[in-house]
Amino acid sequence: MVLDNQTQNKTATGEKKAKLNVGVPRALYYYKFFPFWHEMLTRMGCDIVLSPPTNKKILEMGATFSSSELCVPVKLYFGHILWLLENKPNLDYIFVPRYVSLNKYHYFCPKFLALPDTVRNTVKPKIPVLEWEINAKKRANIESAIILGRKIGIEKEEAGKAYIYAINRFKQFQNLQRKGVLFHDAMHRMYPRLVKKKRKMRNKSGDEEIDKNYPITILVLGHPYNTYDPLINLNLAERLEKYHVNVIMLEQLPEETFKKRVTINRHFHNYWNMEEELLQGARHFLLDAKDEIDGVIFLISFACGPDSLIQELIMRDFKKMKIPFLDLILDEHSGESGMVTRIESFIDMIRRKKYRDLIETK
Amino acid sequence: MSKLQVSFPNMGNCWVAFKTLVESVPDIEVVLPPPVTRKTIELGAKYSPEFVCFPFKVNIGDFIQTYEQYGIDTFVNAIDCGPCRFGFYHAVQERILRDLGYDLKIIPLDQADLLNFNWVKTFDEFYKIMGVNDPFKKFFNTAGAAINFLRKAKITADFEKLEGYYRCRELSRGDTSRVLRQALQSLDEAKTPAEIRESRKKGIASFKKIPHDTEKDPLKVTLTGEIHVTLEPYVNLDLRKKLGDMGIEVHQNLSLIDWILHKFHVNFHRKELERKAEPFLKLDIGGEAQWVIGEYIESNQRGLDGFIHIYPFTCMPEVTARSIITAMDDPKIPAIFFSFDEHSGVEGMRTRLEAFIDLMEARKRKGSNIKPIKKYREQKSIIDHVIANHQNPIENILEPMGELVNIASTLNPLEVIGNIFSDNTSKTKPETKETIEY
Repeated sequence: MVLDNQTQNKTATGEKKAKLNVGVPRALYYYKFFPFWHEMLTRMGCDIVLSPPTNKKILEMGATFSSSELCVPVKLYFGHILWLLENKPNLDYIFVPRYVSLNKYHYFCPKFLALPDTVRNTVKPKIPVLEWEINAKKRANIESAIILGRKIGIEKEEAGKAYIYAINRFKQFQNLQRKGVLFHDAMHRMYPRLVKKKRKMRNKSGDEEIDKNYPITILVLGHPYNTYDPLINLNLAERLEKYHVNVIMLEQLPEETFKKRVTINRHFHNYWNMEEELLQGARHFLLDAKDEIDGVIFLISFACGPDSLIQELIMRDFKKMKIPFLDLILDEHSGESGMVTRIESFIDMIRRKKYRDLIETK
Repeated sequence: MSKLQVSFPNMGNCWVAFKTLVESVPDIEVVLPPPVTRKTIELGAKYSPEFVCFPFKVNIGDFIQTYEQYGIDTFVNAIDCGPCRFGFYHAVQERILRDLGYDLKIIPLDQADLLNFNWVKTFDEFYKIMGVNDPFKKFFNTAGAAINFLRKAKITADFEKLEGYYRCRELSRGDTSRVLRQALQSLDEAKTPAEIRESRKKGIASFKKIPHDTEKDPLKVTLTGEIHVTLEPYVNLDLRKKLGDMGIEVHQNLSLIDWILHKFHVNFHRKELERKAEPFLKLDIGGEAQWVIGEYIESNQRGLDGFIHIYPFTCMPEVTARSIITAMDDPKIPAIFFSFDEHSGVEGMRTRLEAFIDLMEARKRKGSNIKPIKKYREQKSIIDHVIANHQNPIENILEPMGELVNIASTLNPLEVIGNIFSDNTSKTKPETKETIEY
């Protein structure tokens, strides 16, 4: 905390120019790394302007703008950027991170690798794109933070300090998530100004009593931008809670789960970053905590490259272990009723299987 | 001892080169997979994940058909550890096929960075299976295989370039295809370095003999995209042949050797393309994305008539490249994009292609505003390019190396060293062993 005060004082005294307005689209890795970006950028003297939670209009803008073969999350990203450009004319920068790798073994999906380039060359915004390349194969993360600082006129030392501060805050946020606070609530706790509290879903349906007395636990796998974006997954987490299902998200698993690398077969390790976490989570439940879950729901966006293969592997493993598995494919056309039916029947099936003896005696 | 039979999935004309590579291991016989047909694709699509990229599905179909028709259970498949899906192919394919009840083994050929020499591991695995322990033999075998592979891949690429030149000019349709087939056949039969040189010479000569219209000035088109889709004719609905038959000269830099040289870090043309693409895409994101953008810019600079980009449906890097190309501002040549999957139909494609050709013809008649830049103003035709490359570095360096390795591999080094240090009398000893006993 000593460090905090020092840097704060410095920026407060040394800064004469107005704060930079940096627009951040509320899509893709917003749902994973936003606290980190926020602390970094505010430390560096920027004001963050977030786009609103995804709504129908943003989805439509993104879907009509981008190439039809892209996956929905990326289409949404374009939608958010277009919204920012349209509605926030006083932005100085648009923040588009380029995630290449977080450690030397892994890559992100190619679409993330090219994200600033695609934004710059297809959207062609009049506002400059503030690019932040995180590439652990090439340079240390702190160095990339310093490069980011240089772009917006921040001294080396301050940028480094901002990075360290942001890392610590991000760890706090992750701990909050590990305690079982879902992303949205955790965000609300940390940044009440930016993230409004969610309204509760109403009109509970189904057989309340049975649901309450016979709880089940479901693991929700998927990329954070699918599992936490309420529009694209049609409020999955809340919907499950409504049926008295305990939801386990990947972010809630203990830190040790994510330490050992995943081996696919005798020759070969996995090389995608996000998929590594999915596989590690799946491995945790396949080997160590098989009895803790009753079923798995895998959220996968249509045309997602890495997931199309990873999902196949995970599905086969869970099938072998006889754990029920449901994959929901998300795209911009997904209708609510079809999805709800599938989820409901999946839950009913698990509940009947688990409490077979009890329910039958009734 | 019966020979071990090995196979690999289809990828156009690359079988010639891959066959030499695998067959270099003693007592291994390569069985070529049946050509890709409708049935292959149906089988592949049936057992693959729903929206995995198309080459994955085709490969699965290849594996199943080869296994069922010829009973082969050992396969080689290349892998890459880049950011795109290609690296996962063999792992997931093996898993799927095993679960289906096919007891087969897929041996990966690591080509993420060829200077790491991880690809040698594939050979090690084969040597282990075949029980070859002599390190000298292993070394010379592998070196010879690599050299022959590179040469044959280069010659195949040359032939394909000539094919692009001659097919649009040939007087009786089908000559070029026939000549290409024969040339590849003779290249496949060539084993020693001298034979390979001979078959290259013969192949080029037979291309030159094709009766063709020398005066013709056809439309010139760049064809590029994802490597499997571009090279495998059934998958891309034989686009190269279609274009040639419609009288269009196909310029295609993409080939197996182009890729392999890139992986050896000596492909200078690709480095040039990377420089051209840099303002639009800063780093290699897998697939061919960066070079596709580079090729597009280069074909603009060359003043060609059109650009065709083909890729499998939902291919991550290529879709990115496509969206960048379509959004470019500069005055530019017309570009058309085809994405292929198991549902792609011939007629829809032909219609689009005809419209595209009409567009190019109209532009040409009107006089295109895109002129070649100074560097490319005096461009040679493809044929000059190939024949000028007759003294190309690959041939020049690798042929003598191949000869050397060939000679070295026939010697037994232990024996050679032994002979130096021992008396001449000991030489006679091994001969007595060779008396034949019945």
